[in-house]
Amino acid sequence: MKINSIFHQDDNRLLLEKSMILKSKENPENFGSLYRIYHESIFRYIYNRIGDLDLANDITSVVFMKALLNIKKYEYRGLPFSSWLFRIAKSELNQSFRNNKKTQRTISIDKIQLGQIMEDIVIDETDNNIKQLLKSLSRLNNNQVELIEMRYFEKRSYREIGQILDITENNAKVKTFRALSKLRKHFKQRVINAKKPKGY
Amino acid sequence: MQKNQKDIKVIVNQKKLSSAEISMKQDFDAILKKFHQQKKMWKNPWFFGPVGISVLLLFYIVI
Repeated sequence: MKINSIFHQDDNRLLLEKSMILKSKENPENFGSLYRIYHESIFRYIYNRIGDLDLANDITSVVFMKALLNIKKYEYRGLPFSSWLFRIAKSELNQSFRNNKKTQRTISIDKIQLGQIMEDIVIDETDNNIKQLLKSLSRLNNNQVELIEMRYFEKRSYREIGQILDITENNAKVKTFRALSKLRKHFKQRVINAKKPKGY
Repeated sequence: MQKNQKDIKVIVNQKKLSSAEISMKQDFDAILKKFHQQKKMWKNPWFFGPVGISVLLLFYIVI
């Protein structure tokens, strides 16, 4: 599977980022450069999970505001700055789902992306199977959806997923496989139920 | 668990936003303005007035 490589930065870029963080700690106005680098990826992360442009814009602003307020506490550990931002974004999204009953968790999918999942859980790519798979996806819990979303729809590596979720790379891999097998189970159940004659 | 399952909505082939559309939404000045307002609020002695009085009252009640 093709993985999005934006997250994986070389040492020089990480050092440059480190100096940007130090400058932001000295003067909040310097945070602008980090804001411009990561605004798009944080916005997309939120928008894909909320499906509402205005709300995604508001939450993105809160994420960067919180990052700016807490930048002095931020400790550089050799990880991209974005993993910290994604964690703030995840927490803000959860807060929004809790506080606003109208806010609905969404999964944004391209039909092409479903092909990889279907290949991995060994099912034929028919229209009916796609329909059943989409219904099965909405049966998963938030954590399982998040893993499948990051791996298959956002093409993140297990290393990146681990850093965003604050778990090890290996744990991210294991949890994603578990989520995938749960999806396969729901899918098979749906197919069996669909074949049952009505009235049974 | 059941609540989660009901809440998830699957959107297929949602309109893709371009980078230009997203960058139009960038407003670092607004964030910086809010940041300075928040900082000012913490520095304002009036903010600590009611908080300080409440703490003293609580202390008085407990003792």
